[in-house]
Amino acid sequence: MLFNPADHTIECGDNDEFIKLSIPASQLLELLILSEGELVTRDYLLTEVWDKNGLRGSNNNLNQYMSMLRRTLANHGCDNLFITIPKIGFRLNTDIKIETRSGPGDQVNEPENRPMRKQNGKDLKILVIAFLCILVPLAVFIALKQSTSHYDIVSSDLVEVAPGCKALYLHKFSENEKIRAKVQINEMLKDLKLKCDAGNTLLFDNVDPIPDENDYGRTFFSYCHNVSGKTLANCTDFFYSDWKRHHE
Amino acid sequence: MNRKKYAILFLSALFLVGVVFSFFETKSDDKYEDFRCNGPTRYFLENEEIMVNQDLRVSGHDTAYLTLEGYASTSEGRKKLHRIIYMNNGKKAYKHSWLFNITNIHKSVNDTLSDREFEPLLMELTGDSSLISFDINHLSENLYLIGTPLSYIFTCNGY
Repeated sequence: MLFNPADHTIECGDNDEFIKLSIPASQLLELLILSEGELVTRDYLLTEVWDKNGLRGSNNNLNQYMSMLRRTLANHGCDNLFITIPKIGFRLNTDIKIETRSGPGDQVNEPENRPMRKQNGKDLKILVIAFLCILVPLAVFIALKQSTSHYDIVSSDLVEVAPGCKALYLHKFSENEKIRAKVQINEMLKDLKLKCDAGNTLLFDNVDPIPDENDYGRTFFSYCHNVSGKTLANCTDFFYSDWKRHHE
Repeated sequence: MNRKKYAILFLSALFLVGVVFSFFETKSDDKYEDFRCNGPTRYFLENEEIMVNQDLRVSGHDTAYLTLEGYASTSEGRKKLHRIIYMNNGKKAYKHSWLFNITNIHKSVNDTLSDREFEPLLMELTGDSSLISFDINHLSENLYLIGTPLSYIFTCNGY
């Protein structure tokens, strides 16, 4: 079977029978042969065969012409030249051997731009994927950097030390230290005559590198106001070089 | 030909990524250009109580000064505190830690606190009158938490 895309004909077998294909069917066959087994999407075929010729194509048109083409080819001994990829497109059956012949009137050169265009589309896809592979980790890095370079008050361990009043411990405390910190915070609030509620966040740290009975070490305590729900501002700080001594 | 083109594009993209990475690293960790903040703290020290407003200014990563202005309640009564600690030769010591040389501690004319009475506060800021180390932690939108090697010492609002 010899397909001549220039005059849209198929020459069959030994009896030199010529079958004239419709122009869309011929173009579809040509595009699928030139695809060399690559997936050819429905959109691509509709664009190349209909849109670029000033026509309005639809999936129904495409199905109709593909069905007609299959029937014509099958009637002349060429079954299953195309494999349908449901809802996506078609692929040339590479099990069937296809040869390209050059000869007088052969206009193979003209449609050569089409696979090039398809190749360009594929290249562009690879390029986009490569850039995404670089840009996505970069975007993640920037986002993480932005969020971790700030001390994120929302994700920190806020402890309720009095009804509605939350404190942020500035370093990890053991359970015993947390209990002692809570007592100390309440004593400080009472001493300083400060009222803590949902509108406040307290910052607390107690550093006692040499724990003993005589002191509690250095205590840093900050009484902050919550702005817009989570942002801290206008803090008043209290620093005790020796809280126990001061308190007693 | 195409491979060569892709290789060039890929290397260009990698270069771009490197530039952006280094920009963010530099921006977040290495410099506090034009960093200024202030905030009040009440210090309850061994024999005195100092209520002071602190103004910390860091210019680039080389020079800085800390202004301390407020009142001290000592055994001799209430006294005025107004001193400026000038620093230079700043170096990044660790993530958010900066080490400066103290060049001068300027005592204002209206400062009535004696050096001996000022010393406990100075010792909380630095144990060495020639060096000072600060941790500058970005705590919330405009709030910074300043620490020394011994403890967190004050919060301040950037401005």
